[in-house]
Amino acid sequence: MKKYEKIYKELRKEMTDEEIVDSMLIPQDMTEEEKRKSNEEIRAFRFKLLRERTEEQRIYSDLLRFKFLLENYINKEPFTEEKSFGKSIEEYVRILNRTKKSLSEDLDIHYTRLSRLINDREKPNIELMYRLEKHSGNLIPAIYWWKLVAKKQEHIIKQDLKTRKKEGAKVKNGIECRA
Amino acid sequence: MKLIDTKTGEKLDGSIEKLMKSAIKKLKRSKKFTFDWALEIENDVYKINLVEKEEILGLISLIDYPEEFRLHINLIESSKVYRGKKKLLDNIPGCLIAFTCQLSFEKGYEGFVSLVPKTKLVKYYNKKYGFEQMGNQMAVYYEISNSIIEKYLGNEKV
Repeated sequence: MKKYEKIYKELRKEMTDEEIVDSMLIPQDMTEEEKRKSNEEIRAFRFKLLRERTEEQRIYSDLLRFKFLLENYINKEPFTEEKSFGKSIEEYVRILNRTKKSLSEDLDIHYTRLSRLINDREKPNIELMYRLEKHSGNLIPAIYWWKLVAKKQEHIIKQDLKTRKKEGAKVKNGIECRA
Repeated sequence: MKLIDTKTGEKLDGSIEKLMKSAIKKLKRSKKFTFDWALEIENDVYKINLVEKEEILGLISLIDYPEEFRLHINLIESSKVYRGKKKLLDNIPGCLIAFTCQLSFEKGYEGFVSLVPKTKLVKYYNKKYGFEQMGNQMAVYYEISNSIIEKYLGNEKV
């Protein structure tokens, strides 16, 4: 008896087909020739799909890729300027294949302000995060944009000893904690 | 991640990690699994476990076809105690499939994921996950692939 058929029959004594699917993937037993044919079929389908891809589908996939890479960055990676809020807006514009001017109009903000945000000369507000979420068809949640800003601020707080010292010097009557 | 405690209905946090080849070798003749996972050594094998717990709940073996922008699921298996009517956790294969869909998007493969289940089980992969049949292979991509991610991994994961 074929390898996977044997496993299936054993499992079938204890589980229904639905329970098996809820537990594992049992592949089809295939000869080398059957495998080759099967791979050729899926390859042909995949290339057809790529050839017929619309611009809308390209944007959808690229935005999801962007979203998941943002997730990984926010959750697992250290801060880098390459993935700052401004740089991410630039990447968003590139994915949409639009101009910054057109994005500023869509978001109802002045082009100069968008430029300042991209070049990190102005800090974005929460309202802009909501607009970006809506603009992406809700694919990129507002909180993702906000976390990019927060990640930079967290990095600054950890690194900026000069400002900490300067601001600390302005404080009077600080509480003295002694163990 | 939406692993479900079948007794309480509570959603539990899981984590998925790639196994080193040395760890795959150690799975040989493991009594917790039916398949011989050591045979998957040439593929990318990932394990799923509850956050901060050592126990492997399930495994998935993937083959990357970069020239086709495709990830192929070769095998999935929940550990024996997580199968059938008395299983303690639900959604183990769902979370592993959703993880693969996400990986496919991350690689720029448009969420394209394929698998070749036993013929008798094909209809369940269509009904449960939305896999579309083409020849003896089945595949998901674009919106269906993202809907699997949202269902099993959640929409906001930060």
